[in-house]
Amino acid sequence: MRNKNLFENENVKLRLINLEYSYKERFASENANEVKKAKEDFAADVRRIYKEETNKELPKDIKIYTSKEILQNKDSSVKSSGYDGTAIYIQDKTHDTNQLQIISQGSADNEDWVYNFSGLFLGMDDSQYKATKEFTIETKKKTQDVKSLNTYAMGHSLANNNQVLVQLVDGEFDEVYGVNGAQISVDHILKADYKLTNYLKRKFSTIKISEIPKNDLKKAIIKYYNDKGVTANITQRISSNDPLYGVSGKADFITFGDVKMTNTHPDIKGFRSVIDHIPDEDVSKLKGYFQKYAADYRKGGIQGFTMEAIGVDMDFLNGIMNEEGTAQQIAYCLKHPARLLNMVGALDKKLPEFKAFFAKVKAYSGPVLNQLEANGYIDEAKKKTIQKDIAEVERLTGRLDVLYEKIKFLVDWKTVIFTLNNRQLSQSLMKNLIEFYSTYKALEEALGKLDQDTKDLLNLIGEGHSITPLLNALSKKKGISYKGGDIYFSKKGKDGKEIKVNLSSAIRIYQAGMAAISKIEAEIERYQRVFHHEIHDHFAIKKSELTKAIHDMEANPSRYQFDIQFKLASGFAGSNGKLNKIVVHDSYHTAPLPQCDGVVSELKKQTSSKKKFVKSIRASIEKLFDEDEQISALFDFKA
Amino acid sequence: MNDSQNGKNGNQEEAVKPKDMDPKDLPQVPAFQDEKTREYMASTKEVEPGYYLLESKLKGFTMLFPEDGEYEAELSSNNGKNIESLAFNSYDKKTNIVLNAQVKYYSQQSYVNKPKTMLEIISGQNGYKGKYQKIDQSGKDIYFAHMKEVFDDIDRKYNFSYSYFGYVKSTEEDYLGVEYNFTFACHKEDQPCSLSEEKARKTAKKLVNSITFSTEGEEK
Repeated sequence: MRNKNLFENENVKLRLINLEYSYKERFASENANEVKKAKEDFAADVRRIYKEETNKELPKDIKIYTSKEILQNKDSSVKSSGYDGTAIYIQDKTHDTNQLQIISQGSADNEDWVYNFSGLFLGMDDSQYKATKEFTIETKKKTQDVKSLNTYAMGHSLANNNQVLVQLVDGEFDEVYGVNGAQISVDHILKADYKLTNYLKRKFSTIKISEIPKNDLKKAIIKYYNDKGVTANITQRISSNDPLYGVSGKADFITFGDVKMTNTHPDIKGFRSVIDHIPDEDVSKLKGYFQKYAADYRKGGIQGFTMEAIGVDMDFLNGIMNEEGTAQQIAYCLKHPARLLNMVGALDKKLPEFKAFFAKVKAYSGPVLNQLEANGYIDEAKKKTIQKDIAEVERLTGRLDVLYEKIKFLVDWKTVIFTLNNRQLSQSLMKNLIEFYSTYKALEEALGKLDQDTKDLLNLIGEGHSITPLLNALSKKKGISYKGGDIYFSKKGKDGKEIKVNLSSAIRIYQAGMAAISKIEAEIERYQRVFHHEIHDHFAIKKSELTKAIHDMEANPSRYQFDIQFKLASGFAGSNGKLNKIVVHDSYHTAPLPQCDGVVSELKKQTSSKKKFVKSIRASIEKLFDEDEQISALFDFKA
Repeated sequence: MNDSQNGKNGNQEEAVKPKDMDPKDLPQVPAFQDEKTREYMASTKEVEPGYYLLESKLKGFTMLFPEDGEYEAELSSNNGKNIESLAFNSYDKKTNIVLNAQVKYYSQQSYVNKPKTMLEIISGQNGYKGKYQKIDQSGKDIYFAHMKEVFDDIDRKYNFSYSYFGYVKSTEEDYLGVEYNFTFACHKEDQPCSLSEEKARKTAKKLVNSITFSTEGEEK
């Protein structure tokens, strides 16, 4: 089994994809030291995850390459390709291991999926394909012995689209693994693969691709890639609750590879049957319209989206409302006729579009909400609330439209000045503008309510797209679950209740605790050494110096004949006498030397009780899981 | 602001673009009579017999365009900023030869500045394993390759094609390049076809050589 995929274990793959997301910001740092540290931490996490899942250790030689450094342009003004990913290069010559693991980053996990999805197939060209391929080419250059190198790709969401595309076009990878992935659309693959389009045009003897019946086209593409032998090593794990999977049922998508479905939420029956209530062309129409204001949606939710989509100049309307009395308000408009006209112009274009969009939303909301209820996403009460919200938005939009028609009747390029200068007409205009303003305000509020009432639903739908629920569903039988990158082990207690232990956290506490304790132990030892050196050794040195000096005096008394000390001692009595003999009565009295033994033993006692505590955490977890060897090994594992 | 209804520069837009003209006044060839294709035509002036000048939507480049060429929407795209793909086909009834062309413009992308990487990517997309001929021209480096493709599993007389593909990189501006693929094949099964590699190559070279970056026109 030479060079077998080290990350064969699916939980390893899923956790690595999740892990890679979590390093996004640290890898993007401009500070080289920070990136270096991030790469070290990332490698340590990879080792830990691998150990936790397989109870084996990865080879020593692991290198990390980020898209940021690989695809960096000298000129910082150059737009990035938009590709984000990380490569792990693992080499171990003694075991014939030489593999490159490429984790491509999808649209950020758990973030606003509505926004992410709207952008998924935006501006479809082959640039994402090229960037993915570029990253693969450039990281391969960093590896040794490319001939024996195996390359594996894994990714979530949009990343799956890129990696499958690369795999289809030139069979780049030895294995491709995708989770809740975006599928390949016919349009997209046609733009990336010259050979495919050439083949199709020859096969069907057509000048344009559009002359080929849609179904035949799809079939021919699937056959082409299956025959080419590039689809057999694609594996996809998909949650039946993934909203992206729901959308992938639409006409233009092809799902390649071996697909394994998992239900991540026992009470929910998936999203596809919800989406199926909306015909293909309306899905793309609704999406196309939504995309126009997607940025506003991201900033301000459904409310922000609608306000921008309708095109009201709120600044201007506020300006009118701030004036006191109709005369002043008319004067304000006379001061800003262009703004009034611009707003009318914008409304003229945008309002009908929004009305058409919302009419579709309203029409589909019935069957869609029913299906959401049937599939367990919402209960009946929630459904009724949302229906009421939608009805209110529709009512207010209708009213807005009526008022707008009245306003439009009163002002256009030709009539604006005349209207504003005519008493009756201008008063009628103000009356309509003011009601327009209040209706608009009410609409704003109704949309805010709709936002609130659909929040949980959207989160629940979005959850189906993320990786962690899948990990949990896949590991349930093994009594393992995951949360925030940590692994949890579960066991039934004596009372039948489930005991859940955050093993990653316990290991962190154990390892950090043991590290801290051994640091304290080292400090105590150092203290002991220093104490000995500074007090005991110092005293001995001083004493021997003194003894030496005494001996010198006793041996050579004449040398001290004129020593001022002796003169002073003898009171200058024998100033002319000769110093014949010096006898020193030695006894060394000192202040009591500090005793360190007591302090040290106290410190040692405290440390060992701390050590016992940390060890007891480990012991009790080990005991709980019946001395599971794997768990034991994890406590000793150093990444 | 709204009072200035004129374009940004009155005198710049002196000549009326073909797309704004009455089709009756335009050359009676597909390049001008097809509504979508017309949008790409820079002028009604014939540059050389059978060829007009095309200008990309992002105004990133110009090139010769065969008079019987027609735009293909399914294979074209434009992100409105820095990437544009343009696909067109032309069919000559007399010779029964069809040309399927794709020209892709990229700017401000990291791979664009690395010709070696770019060619490796292009080779992958064409299923090609060979080398490229490099031709230095003023303002650009042209990388050119050729491949005869025979599809054995297609049960047709004309199951082959000649493809000419590669990359044109601007030497005057960084991060700017055009990728191309011109594929020639015989179209109608029941008609003779005079496709020859030599002639196809000549046409392909003519088109490739005509690709010109129009950097001044690019919006900064």
